[in-house]
Amino acid sequence: MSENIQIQARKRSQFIEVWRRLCRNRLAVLGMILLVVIVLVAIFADVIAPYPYDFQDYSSVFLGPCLQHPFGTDNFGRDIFSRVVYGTRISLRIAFISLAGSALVGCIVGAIAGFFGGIIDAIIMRFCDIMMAIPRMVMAISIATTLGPGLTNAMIAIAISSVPNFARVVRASTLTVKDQEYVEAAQSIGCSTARIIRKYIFPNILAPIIVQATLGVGTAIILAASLSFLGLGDPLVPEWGAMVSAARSYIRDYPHMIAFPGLAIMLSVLSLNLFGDGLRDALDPKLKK
Amino acid sequence: MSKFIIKRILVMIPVLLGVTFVIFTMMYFTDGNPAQLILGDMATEEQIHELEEEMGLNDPFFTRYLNYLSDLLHGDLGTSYVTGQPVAKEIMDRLPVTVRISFCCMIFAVAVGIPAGILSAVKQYSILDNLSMVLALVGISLPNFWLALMLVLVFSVGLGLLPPSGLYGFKYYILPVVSISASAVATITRMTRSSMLEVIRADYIRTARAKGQSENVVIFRHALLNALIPIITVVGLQFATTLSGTVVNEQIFAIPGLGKLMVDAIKARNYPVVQGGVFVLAFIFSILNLVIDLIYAFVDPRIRSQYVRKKNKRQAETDNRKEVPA
Amino acid sequence: MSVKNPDMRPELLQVKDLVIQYETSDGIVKAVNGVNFSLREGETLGLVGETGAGKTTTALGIMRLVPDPPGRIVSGQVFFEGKDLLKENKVQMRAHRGKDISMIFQDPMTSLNPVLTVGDQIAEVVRIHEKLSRADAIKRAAEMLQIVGIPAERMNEYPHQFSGGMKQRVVIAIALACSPKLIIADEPTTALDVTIQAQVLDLIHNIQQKYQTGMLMITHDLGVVAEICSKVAIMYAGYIVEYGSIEDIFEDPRHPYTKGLFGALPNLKKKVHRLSPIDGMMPDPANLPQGCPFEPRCPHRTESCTQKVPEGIEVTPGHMVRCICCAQGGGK
Repeated sequence: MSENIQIQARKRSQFIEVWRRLCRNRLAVLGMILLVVIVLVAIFADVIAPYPYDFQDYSSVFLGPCLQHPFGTDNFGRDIFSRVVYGTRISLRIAFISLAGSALVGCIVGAIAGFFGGIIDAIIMRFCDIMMAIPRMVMAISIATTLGPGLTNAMIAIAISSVPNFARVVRASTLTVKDQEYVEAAQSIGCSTARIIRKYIFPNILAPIIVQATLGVGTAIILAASLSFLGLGDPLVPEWGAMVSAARSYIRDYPHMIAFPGLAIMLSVLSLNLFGDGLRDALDPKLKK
Repeated sequence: MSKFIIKRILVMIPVLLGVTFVIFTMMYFTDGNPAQLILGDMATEEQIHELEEEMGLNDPFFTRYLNYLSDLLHGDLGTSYVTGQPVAKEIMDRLPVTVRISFCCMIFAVAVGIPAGILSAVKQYSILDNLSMVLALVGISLPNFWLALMLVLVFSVGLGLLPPSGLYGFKYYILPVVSISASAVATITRMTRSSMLEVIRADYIRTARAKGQSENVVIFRHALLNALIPIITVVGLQFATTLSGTVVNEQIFAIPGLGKLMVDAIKARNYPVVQGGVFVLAFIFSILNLVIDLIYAFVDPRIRSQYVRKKNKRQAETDNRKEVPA
Repeated sequence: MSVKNPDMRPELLQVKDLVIQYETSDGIVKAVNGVNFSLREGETLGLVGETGAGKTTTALGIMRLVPDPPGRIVSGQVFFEGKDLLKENKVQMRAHRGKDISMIFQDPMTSLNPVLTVGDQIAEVVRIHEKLSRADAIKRAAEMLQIVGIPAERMNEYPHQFSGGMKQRVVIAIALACSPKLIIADEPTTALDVTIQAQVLDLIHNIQQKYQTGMLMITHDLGVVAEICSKVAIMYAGYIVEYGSIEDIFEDPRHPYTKGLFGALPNLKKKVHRLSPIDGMMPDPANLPQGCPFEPRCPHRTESCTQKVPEGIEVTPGHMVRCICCAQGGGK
């Protein structure tokens, strides 16, 4: 019993330690706050947005930023602020779902490759090599082309093209952890393979996975925006990249139509990068001194 | 060394084979009937069937893959649905422009990123460091295409300093290169900084200082040479970003390169061109990775020695055993 | 070992009230707190203490190589041949490093630059301080390698091709290449295999005897001290708690910590029931006690020990102890 309590206390204190280090990093805190705001905007999009995203008002097209329309309106008289707010929901959904998919597959595949080694490892890694021989964005573009335009397909394309990255990170950290003495110790007292993976390996490779995932969401947002920009998304939905793409022809006269969706992409990716960087530093045992 | 190069090229072949398989599989599952796409909506059922047979579209998967592969080996990437021209020719016509732009991007990224990173590391926590780190963070957070549009907005539409499109001279390169390489510059700067910071704390740097070596030599000879290895890795990975960047940004600047060709093809559902482009990009990227591996071996004697004949190693081991007290 | 005679030689190094601190997020770490010692030409001083006592920081302080930030030399003086090193400008200081004072580092595995050949690394220090052509510097590097017992043909090899002991020999060759007047050896054998330790130690000792260089030997091994040092300074939590000739320390230890160190050593001659380790741990240098730093672990502690850090007391000429028990005559 008391041992259990002790272990729990240690776990908690480790978490608190990471949290404390994270809070000391001003940039990470900034990223965290931005991220929370962005997630809240996504959740409460219908409350925050003053207009529905597809509400067209032909009496007020191409308005610059003003009181009624803080980000102005577009060629159909739609309120850009509302569209950007709803876009948050779409971008985050694409990014998180595709990331969750690639993280799940990547972790399993990577852990298997790292833990078992041998032929399985060789096959998996060669396959990763093949996937990574195609630049990630190009890979996503060609998968999305295969599947046809649409947000779900874009999501799948992003997820597939991100799997090798995850697999590699997880494999590398599994390999490092596997050779640690505490794993040998666990083996020597007769722990089952499943238990070793669950109790000894997984907790110790969690840090790089979390960091990779945080930074990966940012990349996924950019990938999604780029696919939409190339017309591989859904033109009817207020996705940020699609909005920029649609506004391109008006760049000379109505630059606000391009500026605001792009700023939204930048801010959300920036917040994720700030947070991810901070998280990496906070989790890095090398700085634990 | 030549043995290493040959070995490395032999490793590249199965990877490229795998790439062709992946690309073919994607092409196979692409929706839409190529025969229909070539003939257009006016074609009769019969005509389509005829063409399908002629193109071997009804053959089994592996037969078609082998045909595709043998075509590829003969430099045949298929026929463009839109122009009816060989895809290989269309790509080769456009490729030089893209290669030129990517090359400029990488030169720019390395020439700006590495010095900026070194400066940041040496003057850690200074205003300069903070400024370049914030810029680098913004750089990796920007979508290339949006940065391109913003640059056009400011420097072409607003200030009228630089041309917004085309590729007719030095001035025309500035905006595409800056917008495509922004994230590469940022990533290289960040990597250089963190790698330098790690190396600067190493014991051998202290040894170099204890010798009375000047700070400049310590930084450039002792630290940078060691920090270079992870930097080279990142530079290699950035080739991917720049190649992808050209695909997206060429159309913004109306640059008649491979990227624009591919994006136009995506819009026209002209799949052979898209897949051919993907293959060519993967091929270029693989070759660049090969070059990166060679640079590794050049910089790091530990990697180099893995490829030198084993005899030397055995010699060294016996020498180690012969440790004689002075 | 002749100790009395060299006392007539000129002072080589004199460290006075050296204070070095590190500023970290957990507060100010007081690594070195007013350290005093001196060294004559050709003499060997052993600086003894456990890990974290501030030995390495003291050595780096003399070389002015304390990493800054976070480290900072707060006050004190380091006289080398009469000149205060802490007042020299950067260029002057560089001229001393490697030429007048050189250092042998603790971990040979990481002390050599992995991407340069060992020959280059030895030739480098020669090229910095002596006006030699490249070819001559390389020739000197080859000679140095032979002096430390490595065949000269191996100078074009890289550090990863050498074993730990061989690497330490290379580090020693670098340190000796410009015939320095003072060598600071920072636990030069700690990272090596036991069998290699004796070889490397012999090598350092022989060279020091041959060229009559002064040496500051940092170690936690009293056996090493007994073998090669003529003076000893015992360091604890950034203070020198006892300082004297080797006879003073080994035959008449006064400070409870010094005695504790000897009590923790196995001795074949004396029959002891069991070794007596020193209870407790060294205090956190970021949070030193107000009084004597050893007070929490001291078997003879009194109320007055917690009041303030005791001053150094000269019990016999040249033998200093930092303990109030000794001032009251209760040292034994």
